[in-house]
Amino acid sequence: MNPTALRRLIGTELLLALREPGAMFMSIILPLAVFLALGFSVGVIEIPVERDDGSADLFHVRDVLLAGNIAWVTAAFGIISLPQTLVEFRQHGIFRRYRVTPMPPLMLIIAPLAVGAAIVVASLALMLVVGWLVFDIRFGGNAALVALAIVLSYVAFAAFGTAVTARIRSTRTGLGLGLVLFAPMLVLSGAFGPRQAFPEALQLVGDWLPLTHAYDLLTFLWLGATWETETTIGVPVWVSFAYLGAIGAVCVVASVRFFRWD
Amino acid sequence: MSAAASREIALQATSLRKAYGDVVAVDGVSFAVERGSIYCIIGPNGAGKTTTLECLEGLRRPDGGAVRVAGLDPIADHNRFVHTIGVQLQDTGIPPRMKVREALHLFAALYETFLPLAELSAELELDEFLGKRYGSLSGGQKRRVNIALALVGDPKIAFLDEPTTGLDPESRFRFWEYVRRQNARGMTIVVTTHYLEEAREYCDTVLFLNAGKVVTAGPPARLIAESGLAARVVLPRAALGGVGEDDLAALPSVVHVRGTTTSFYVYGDADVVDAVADFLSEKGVAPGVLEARPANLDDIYFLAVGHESLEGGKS
Repeated sequence: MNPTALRRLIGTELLLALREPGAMFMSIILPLAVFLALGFSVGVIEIPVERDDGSADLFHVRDVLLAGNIAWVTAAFGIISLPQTLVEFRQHGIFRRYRVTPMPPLMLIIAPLAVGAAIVVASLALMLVVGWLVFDIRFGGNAALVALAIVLSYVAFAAFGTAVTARIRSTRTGLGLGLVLFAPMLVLSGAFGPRQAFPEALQLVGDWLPLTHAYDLLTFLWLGATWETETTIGVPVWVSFAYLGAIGAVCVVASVRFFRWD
Repeated sequence: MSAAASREIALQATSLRKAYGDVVAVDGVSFAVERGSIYCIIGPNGAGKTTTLECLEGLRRPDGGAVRVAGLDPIADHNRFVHTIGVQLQDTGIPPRMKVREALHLFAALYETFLPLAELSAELELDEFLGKRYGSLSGGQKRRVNIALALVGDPKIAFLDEPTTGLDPESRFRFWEYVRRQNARGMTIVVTTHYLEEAREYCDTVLFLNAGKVVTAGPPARLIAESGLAARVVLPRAALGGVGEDDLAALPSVVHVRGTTTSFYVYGDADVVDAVADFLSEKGVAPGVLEARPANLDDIYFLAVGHESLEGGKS
C-alpha cells in the first residue's frame, strides 16, 4: 500500500472518530471530568509509599488519578469504540467493498488502532497538562514501565473487544455488548471508588477482570512500583503484566480465528 | 455505441457455476467480453446477474468453471487483479459518517492513476453534496457516489451492478454519457440493468440470463432482427366481442399472444398489424385505434425469459 493511501486512510478514520461524539466523550471529556471532580474532592488524601529499599515517600490521590483514568480509557476504546468501527465495517459491507480495491484488509484494522492510540495519547497529554497546571501533580515511577503498561492495556483490550464482537453484524448489538462488558469492569476495577469497600465476592470477581489489573498496574507503576511490588489484587506487578499479555494473546488468536469480514 | 477496437478478450467466464446450499444461482454460464466494449447482463430478479458479477469480481469463489479477467484469476491473482478493476456493488460499502469528498480522495489514493476528480464529480452531479456525509444522502445520490468510486481509479474493466436503478432520467443520461466517454478511452464496462431501453441504446452486447442460465446473447439489434419480431399490437378485450387468444394466435404473422385480464398483447412480424386489422374487420369487430409499436428488447426479453410484468411500459 502506498504511503499516500495509508495517510489518507488514517486521516479519514481520524475524522470519522472525531465525528463520533460518544467516543470522544468517553475518551477525552469523561476522563478529564472525573480527574477534576475526584481531584478537587478526594485529591488531597495522602498516599504514603514505602520503597523496596526501605525509604518512604508521600503522594496524594490527585497525583495518581490520571494513571487510573488512562487504564479505563484504553478499556473503553478497546471494548466499545474499536468494535463499533469494525462492526460498522461489517454491517455496511465496507470490508467487502475494499476487497475489490487495492486496499490491504489488515490496514482497515490498523488504521482505527492508530487513531485510537492517538486519542489515548491526546487524552493522557490533556490530563497531564491540566493536572500539572491545576494540581501540580507528581510522577514517582519509571516512564518506560508506565508506557509499557499503557501499550499492553491498549493492545489487550483492543484484542478483547475485537474477539468478542468478531461475528457481530449490528452496531447496536456491538454497543450493547460493549457496555455490558465494560460497565461492571469499570466499577469492579476500583476506578470509581476503592474496591476494599465492596463485598468480598465482588472483590474476588474484580481480581480476575483485566481492567482491575490494568488499573492497579498503572496506578502502582505511577507511584514507583517495581516488578515485585504487590498490588491491591494481592499479586506482584509482573503477574498483572503477564495476565494482560496472556489475555491479549488469546484474544488475538481468537480474533484471527473467528473474525468475519462480511 | 462504441465499436470494439479489436477482438481481444477482456474477460471470460467458462461453465461458471455457483450454488448457495440447494439453490443453484449460476448454472453453467459461459460468455466472453471483448476489450473496449460495453457488455450488459440482463434478466429477472434472481436470474444470477449479481452472483455472476461477484464471481468475476473475485468476491465469490465459483463452485465450478473458470473466470479470467484481464488475463488474471480474480482470486489467485488477487493483488494484481484489484489494480485492473473498478466495482460498484448494489449494496453500499461506505462508512455513513464519511463525507463524499473524503471517500473520493481516499479511493483515488488507492490507485496509481485516477480520473480527474473535479470532472468526475461534475459529470456524475456530486458537486452539490461533496461536503455531506454519505449516510445522509438519498438513494440516487448514494448510487452516483458508488459509481464514481468504481470509476475513479481509471480501471481497465469496470463492473457496475444496476448503476442506474433509482436514478432520474437526467442522471441516467449523464451517467451513460460519462461511461461512454470512458469507454471511448478504452475502459471495458460490464453492467447489469433492468432498463432494457438503456441496454439497447448504449450497450454493444447483451446477455440474457434466466434461472442461472444463458438464454441468448448478442448485439441488441441482431437479437431483435433474429427474433423475427417486428411489432407488438395491444387489443383491449372489451372491444373484441368473441375473439379469443387462440383466434389471434392462429393468424399468420403472429408469433405469440399473451392475454391479460384487460388486453391481448400480440407479437408478430412486419405484417402483424395488417393481419390483425384485416382479421378484426372480417369479424366485424372495431376496436377503434390499433395500438402498435415496433418490437424492442422488452419483447425479446419477454419471449425469451417468459416472465410476466414486462409489458405495460414498465421499462
